[in-house]
Amino acid sequence: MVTTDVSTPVPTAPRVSAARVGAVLEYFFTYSFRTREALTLLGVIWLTAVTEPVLYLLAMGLGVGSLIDSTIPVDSHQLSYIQFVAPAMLAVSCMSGAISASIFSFYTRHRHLGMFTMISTAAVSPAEVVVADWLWEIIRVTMLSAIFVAVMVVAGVVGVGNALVAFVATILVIAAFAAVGIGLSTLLRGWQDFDIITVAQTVLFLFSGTFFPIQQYPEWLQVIVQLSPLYQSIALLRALTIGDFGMALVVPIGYLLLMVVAGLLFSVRRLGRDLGR
Amino acid sequence: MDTEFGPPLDDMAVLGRDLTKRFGEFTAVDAINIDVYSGECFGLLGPNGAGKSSTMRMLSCISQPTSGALTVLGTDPRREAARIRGRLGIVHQENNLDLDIKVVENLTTYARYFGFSRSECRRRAAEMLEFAQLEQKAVSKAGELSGGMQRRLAIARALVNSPEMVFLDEPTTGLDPQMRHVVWQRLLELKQRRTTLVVTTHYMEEAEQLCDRIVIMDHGHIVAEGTPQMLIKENVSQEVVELWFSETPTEETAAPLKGISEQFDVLADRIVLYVANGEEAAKEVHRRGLTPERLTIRRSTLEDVFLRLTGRTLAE
Amino acid sequence: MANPTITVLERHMLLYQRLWRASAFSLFILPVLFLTSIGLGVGGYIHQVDGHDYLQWITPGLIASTAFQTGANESTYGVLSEFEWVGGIKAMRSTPVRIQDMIRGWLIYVLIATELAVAAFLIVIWLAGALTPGLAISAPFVCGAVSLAIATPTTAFSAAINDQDWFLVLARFVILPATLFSGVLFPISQLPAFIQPLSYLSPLTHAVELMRDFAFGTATPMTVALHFAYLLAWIVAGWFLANITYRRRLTD
Ligand SMILES: Nc1ncnc2c1ncn2[C@@H]1O[C@H](COP(=O)(O)OP(=O)(O)OP(=O)(O)O)[C@@H](O)[C@H]1O
Ligand SMILES: [Mg+2]
Repeated sequence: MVTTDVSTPVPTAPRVSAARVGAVLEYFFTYSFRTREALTLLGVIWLTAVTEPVLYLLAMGLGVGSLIDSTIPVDSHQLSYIQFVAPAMLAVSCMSGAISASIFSFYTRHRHLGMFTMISTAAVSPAEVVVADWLWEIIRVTMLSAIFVAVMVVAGVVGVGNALVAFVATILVIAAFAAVGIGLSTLLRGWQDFDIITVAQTVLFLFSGTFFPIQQYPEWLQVIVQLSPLYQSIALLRALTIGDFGMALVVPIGYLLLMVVAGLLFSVRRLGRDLGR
Repeated sequence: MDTEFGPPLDDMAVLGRDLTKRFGEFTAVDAINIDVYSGECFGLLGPNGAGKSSTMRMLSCISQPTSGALTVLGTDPRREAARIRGRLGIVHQENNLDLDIKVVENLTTYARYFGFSRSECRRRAAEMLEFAQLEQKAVSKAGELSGGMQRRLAIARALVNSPEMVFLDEPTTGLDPQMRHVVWQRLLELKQRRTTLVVTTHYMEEAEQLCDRIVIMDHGHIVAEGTPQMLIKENVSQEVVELWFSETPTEETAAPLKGISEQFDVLADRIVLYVANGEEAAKEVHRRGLTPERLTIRRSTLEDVFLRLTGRTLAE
Repeated sequence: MANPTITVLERHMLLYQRLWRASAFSLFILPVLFLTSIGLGVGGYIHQVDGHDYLQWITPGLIASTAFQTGANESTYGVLSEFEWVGGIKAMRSTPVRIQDMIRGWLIYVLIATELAVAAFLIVIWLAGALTPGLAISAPFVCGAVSLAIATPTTAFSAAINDQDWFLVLARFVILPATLFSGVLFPISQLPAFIQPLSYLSPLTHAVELMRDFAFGTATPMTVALHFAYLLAWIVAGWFLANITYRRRLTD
């Protein structure tokens, strides 16, 4: 037992050591692969991960796309419907992957399994727990986005070069949503609040220029939609998949970086308070 | 109605022959015979994993025996399990409460399963709240109760249908000593009303206080049965000498004891010696040059029977 | 004497009462969101489908799809948690309530939850001034049937597993393809010929066709009977499976 003299100020600067973050990551890793069954199930889930983009592209491209005879204008480009909708579906998949990974799994592990309380008594700071968890979610969800991008290439929706650039951008999108998601999950009071998250995700999904250009909306609504993080992610991925590398990309990239920083700082503060540090 | 054993015997609440329960390859209960008489309190004792809960689930018509013959309250559970359960009260090892609804709602919903009218359910729920001394908490969420209160609620819930026979799987585990006595008091009241009780427990005191007859199980087998007094008399001598050592005693340490008594157990912190006369044995121990830190002499208890028969202490 | 099925239902309704406020909001808001974004938004690029405006054309299908989703979603965590975490079902098992009573009471609860969602959807359409008598009368029946058609096998599945990650597999292999390829967003005829028969395996496809036939007045007794018979087959098969998996889990 270490006794702390409460009169001496405890250092408050978040300290983050790569070694300790690595150790926590390793713990998450071994925990996930703890049993044979867990491993088998994980394998099956990876297998099904491929089906999701294939289904979406089939339904949107072949199905809805075939009802639309015109092309969709994006900046100076004229896109087929599938070209228009595929990068948006990719962004949505990154968002929901990162949100469900961070919110649902962070919540279960923190509140129900008490995992973070346990880790943080082992001389690991809240900042290190948050960073480790954030990296862990990024690793898991990035594997999904890689599969999605690969399917897009195979389907001929995007060229290999642009696909690689877009894949790198998905890491940023996932990082942004994961950071914010961890912060949000520290605010949840119980399972009943998950409904709010689901509805919020649906609103973003339907109204962020996913299925049709936001020029369809009245002027004032367009402004609001542009504030949506999903809209910014879609704008970034759509531009990159059609090879539109310009200064205009500064806005979405800046927006997403801001989400990363704000999300992480907020999470560290909240978790620190939760764990009584 | 006739059963496999012929016409029902009025004084037999449970009649089980060669009862076996397998989970896959693993045999949790291995061909045991169990008789429970009407109006008695019957105890099932045994270490963790002995098969007590599995046996309770079969006797209370919840799980089906893999093989063997069983009659409960004069009826065959393979045909009439639901009907029999209507006459039973069952307290599982876990509480199985609905933690998100109110305490009184836990009682009323459960009472409804027995087919009582709504007003009758409310009446019975109020009665049970009093029984469990939870009137103050009636409208709290069950999840807000302390562990001991939840246990009392689970016990009260099982009695809401005025059962003829009650199964209680470790009813007082997790209760503080005072609450444990309150529950024992309640169970003794039930017994006085000629309700048949089947109890599992890890507390010897509980078994000695409540049970008329006891069965000790280990690894799915019955290793002994009888009244508590009989079990003590048959399995261990009258008195027990305990020799406490600061270092873990070994067989070597115990070697000089051979002549004093053939019956002894070497545990982590002490050696337990079963003898007819404690005083004499103690003298003999010193004469043989053993120097335990401390030496105690007491009358033997069920705890010692358990230790003799299973090689384990009860409280593990 | 209270019917055991009803007493089981009473417990589920009691538990639901704590949640309804939260879910009532999403019951009304989700139809509005779907109709405006998909119907109006995407519809802006689509002239007509089978001689109807896109919004008009997808509305009946969206209602059926909502019922399908409700039936599936209610029967996942709701069932698994009863076995794994809540213990309510083990309590029921200690009473005269039989396994078939438990399943029946549960399914009636799912049916009620579905009809509430359908009612909310119909109210939204009515407020928009687009509710036709054909739609209003047929929706509760068709939607109830398709909800049970997916709820019964899903309940059986949920009672057979012990890791919630299996729901991810269910969502991706069954629920998502059924939602996307059952003719809700576009006619099945747009799909490649080899996929079309697969679409007809999905109960949702039959419910969507029923809803459209009733909404547009193209229903014939023959097709209605066939579609309903198919949905009934799912319900009956799922019911038997659920009885098997519940029994296996509860008689141990
Ligand atoms: N549903 C099941 N599936 C597989 N094995 C089981 C199951 N239920 C019990 N067992 C096994 O059967 C054996 C006996 O279990 P049981 O619960 O009857 O023991 P117990 O005497 O009640 O123990 P305790 O004192 O710990 O409650 C244990 O080894 C247990 O692992
Ligand atoms: Mg037990």
